[in-house]
Amino acid sequence: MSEDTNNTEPKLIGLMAQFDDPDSLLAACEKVRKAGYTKTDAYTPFPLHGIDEALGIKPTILPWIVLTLGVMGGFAGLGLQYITNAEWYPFIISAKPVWSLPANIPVIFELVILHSAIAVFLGMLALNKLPTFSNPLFRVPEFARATDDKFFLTIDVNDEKYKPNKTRDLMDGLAGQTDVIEVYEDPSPAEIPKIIKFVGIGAAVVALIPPILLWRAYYQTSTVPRINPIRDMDIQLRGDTQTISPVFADGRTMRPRIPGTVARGEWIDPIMLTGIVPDAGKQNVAFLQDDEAPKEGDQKPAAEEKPAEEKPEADKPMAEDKPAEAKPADEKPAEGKPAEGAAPAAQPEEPEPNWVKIAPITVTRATLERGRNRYNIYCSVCHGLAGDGDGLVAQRALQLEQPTWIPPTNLHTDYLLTQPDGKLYNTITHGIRKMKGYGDQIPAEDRWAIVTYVRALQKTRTGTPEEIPAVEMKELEIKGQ
Amino acid sequence: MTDDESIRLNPAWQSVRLVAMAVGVLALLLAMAIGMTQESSSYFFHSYLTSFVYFLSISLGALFFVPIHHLTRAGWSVVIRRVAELLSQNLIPMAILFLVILFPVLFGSHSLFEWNDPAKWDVNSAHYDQLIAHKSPYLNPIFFTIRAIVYFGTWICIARYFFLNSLAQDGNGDKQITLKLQKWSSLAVVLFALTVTFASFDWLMSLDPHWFSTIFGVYFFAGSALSFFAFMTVVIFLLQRDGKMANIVTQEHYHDLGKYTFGFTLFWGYIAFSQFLLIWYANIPEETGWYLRRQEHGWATVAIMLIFGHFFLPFFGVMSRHIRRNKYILTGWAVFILVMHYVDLYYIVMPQVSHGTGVPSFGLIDVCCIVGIGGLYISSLIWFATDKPLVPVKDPRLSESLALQNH
Repeated sequence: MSEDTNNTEPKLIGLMAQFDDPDSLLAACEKVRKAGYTKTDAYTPFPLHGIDEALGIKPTILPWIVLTLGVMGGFAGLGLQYITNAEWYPFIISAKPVWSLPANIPVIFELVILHSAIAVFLGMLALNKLPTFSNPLFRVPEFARATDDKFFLTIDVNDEKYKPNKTRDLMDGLAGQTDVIEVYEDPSPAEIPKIIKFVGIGAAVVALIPPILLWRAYYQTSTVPRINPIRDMDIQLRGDTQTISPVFADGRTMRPRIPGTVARGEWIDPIMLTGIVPDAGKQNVAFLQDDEAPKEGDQKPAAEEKPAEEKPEADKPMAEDKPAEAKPADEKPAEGKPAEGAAPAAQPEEPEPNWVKIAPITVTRATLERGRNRYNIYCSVCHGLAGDGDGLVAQRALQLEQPTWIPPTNLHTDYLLTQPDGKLYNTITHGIRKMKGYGDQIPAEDRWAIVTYVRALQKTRTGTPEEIPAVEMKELEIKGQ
Repeated sequence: MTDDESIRLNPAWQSVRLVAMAVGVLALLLAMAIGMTQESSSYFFHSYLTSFVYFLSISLGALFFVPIHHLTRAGWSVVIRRVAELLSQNLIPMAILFLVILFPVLFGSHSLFEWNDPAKWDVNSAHYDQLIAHKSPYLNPIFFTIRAIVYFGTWICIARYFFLNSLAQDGNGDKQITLKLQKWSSLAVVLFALTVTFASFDWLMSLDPHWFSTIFGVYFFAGSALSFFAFMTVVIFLLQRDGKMANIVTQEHYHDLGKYTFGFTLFWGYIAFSQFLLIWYANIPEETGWYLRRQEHGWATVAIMLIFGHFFLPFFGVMSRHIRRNKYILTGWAVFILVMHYVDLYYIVMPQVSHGTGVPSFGLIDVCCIVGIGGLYISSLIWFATDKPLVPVKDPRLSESLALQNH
C-alpha cells in the first residue's frame, strides 16, 4: 500500500521453487545443498523424513539448552534448600540432620523437571524465532498450498552463493519443479499503528493501578479493618493470652510452667543460677525448683511456714544478721510460697550452703558497667549510690521515723567484705529481711554483674595505692594537685 | 520370507547350545558341591537365588513387553517382538530351576527363608518371633508353594499363549490373531502386575520377614524391565553380528530400545529412591532395619555403587540421541546395565546371609551360580529359537515396523 507513497521497488528477498511431490523436493534439496547454498528452507504439508539431511540442517541445540537449564535447576533446588534449611531456618525435623540430602532430592528433582520444561518451551520459541507476526512468504498466493498439497524450496538472496541469474537457472533446472516464484519483502510499514500504541500504553497504565493501590495500602495507616483476601494465620483457632479457656479445669489459657521443668534454651548452669557449688544435690534441686518453677504452694508442714506476705521494699543491714543468714537453701522448697519470703530469722542452725567464692562470670569492663547500671537502678534507692546504706528511700524513711523501718545495710561493713560472692548473689535473688528478692526482675548474669560491682564499690574503701596502676596513679596525682 | 536364512538361527548356535548347557550343569553342580561342604548351606542358597532371580527378571521383563506391545498396538517393535517372545519362553526352564529353592523350603529348610523355622512360630520356643508368627498364615511352606505354582503357571500360560499365537500367524497370516492377542493383553498385564509383585514379596522381600515395603514389587519390576531391554539389545546385537536380521532391525529400532533403556533407568532410580525416602523419613524400626543392614560392613559401598552405576552413569550415558542411535555404544551400556542389575539383586539378597553381619564377599559360588544358571538360560533360549523365524513374518504391522523412522 505504501509503494505509491515511497515509490520504491519492493526488495527481492528470495526465490521459491514449487514442487508437486516430496521426492522431487528431496532431490532438489540435495542438489541445492550440493551447489553450496546454506540459507535455504523447505516447506511441506507434512513432516518429511530425510529433509534435514537433504537440506543439511544442523541438529538442534535445544537438548543442550534443556540439559544446561535442567542441571541449573538441580543446583538451584539444592542451594535453595541448603540456604533455607541449613542456614536461615535450621529446624530439626523428625530427628533428621538440618542438612540431609535424601529429604532434598524430591525438590531438586521437581526443579530439574520445571527448569527443563520451561527451557523446552522458551527454547523452542526462541529457536523458531517465535512469535513472528508476519512472514513475506504469506504474501505469495501460491504458498497457501504449502499446508495442503504443494512443496516449496526457498533460497535467500543473502546466501553467499546467490547470483541473480545463476540461482534462477539452477531453480529452473530442478527436476519436478512446477514453478519458480520471486518473493518480495513485505512493503507494509514496520512500525506499530498509532491506535495500537495508544491502546497498549493505556492498558499498561491501567494495569499499574492495582499494584500502586496495593503498594499505597501497604505503607499507609487506615481506620477501617483491612481487607484480608488471604487470611494466612491472622484468624485462627487459638487461645489468646489473658482469656478464659474452656479446655482446662482452672479456666486459664496461659498455662503455668510445670514445676521442675526448664524450657529449651533457658538452661542455666546451676552454679550460675544459685550461687551454690553443688556438693549437696538436695539443696541445689531445691534452689532450682524454687527459682525457676512457679511456686505452687509446695506443701510440707515446715516449721517455718513464714507468712511470707511481707513483701518488703526495703532492706536491712546485711551485716548484722548472721543468724538470719542461715535460711537459704533448705527451707526454700519447704515454704515454697510466693517469692522468697524474707529471712526466717533465727532458725535452728541450718548448715551454711557451699557458696560460690567468686562470681562465676568473666569480668570485663562491660560487666562492671552493666553491674553499675543495674545497681543504680535497683539497689541505689536504698543502699545509696556509694553503698553506704543512705539511699533516698532510706533517708525518707528516717525522716518519717517509720517504726517498722529497718535501715538498709551499709555495703562497706567488715562482715560483708568477708562474705562469699554466692551469698551476696543469693541475697539479691531471694531478698533478706525487709529487702525483697530480685530474682524475678534481674536475670542471673545481671545479678552477678551487680555482685561484681558491689565488690568494686567495696574496693573504693579498702584498696591500697599499690593496687592502682602506675598510669592511673599519675593521673590521680595530677588531678589531686 | 519364512525360508529366508537371514531370519533363522545359524546351525553353529546348536553347538553353542550344547556347550552352554554342559557348562551350566557343571557350574551348578560345582556351586552346590562347594555350598554343601561349607558348614552352612545358607550362602549357596542365597547366591543361587540371586542368580536365579537375575535371569528370571529378564524373562519377566520380556513377559511384560509382549502384552504391552499388543496393548498399545505398537508398530515399531514388531521386528523385535519375536526375540522378546523367545525370552519369555525361558520362564519354563526357570520354573524347573526354581525347584532348587522350592524343595528345601517344602522340606523345612530355613537356611534361605528364616520364616520357615517352626521355632519362630512357637510361643514356647526360645526363638519365638512374634512378627514372624503373625505373618505365618502367609509365610508358610505350603502356601508358599501354592503361590509359586500360581506365579509360574500364570507366567507360562501368558508366555505360551502369546508365543504360540504369534507362531500360528507366521503360518497363516491371520490378522484376527493380532486382534485376539490385543484383546487378551490387558488381562495379561493385570495378571503380570499382580504375580510379579507378590513373587518379589515372596522370594526377595521375605528373606527378611520383619521388613516390608509396599513399593518393593514396583522396584523389582523396574529392574526387570530395565534388564530386559538391556538384554534384548545385546541379543539383537549378537544376532546382527551373526548376519541375522541385518536390514530388518535398524538404527531406528536401537534408538527406540535406547529410549526404553533410558526411561527405565530413570524409573528404577525414581522407585528405588521413593522406597528409600519414605523408610528413611518415617524411621520405623521394622523398616529401617533392612537399610541399616545394607549400610554396614562394607555394604554402603555397594549402595553407593548402585546410586552411580545403576542410575547416574547410565542415565547420562544413554541420554544422548547420538549414543542411542549407535548400536555399538548402546550395546556397551546395555552390558554395563546388566552388570549393575546383578549388583542390585546382590544388594537385595546377599546382606541377608547370616543377617548381614558378614562383609560382602563375592566368591566362587557366586560365579558358579551365574555361569550355571546363565548357561542353562542361554542354552534354553537357543533351543526355543531354533527352527523359528526370528521375526513375526506375517504380522500385519510388520511393514510399519520395517519402515520405522524416529522423529
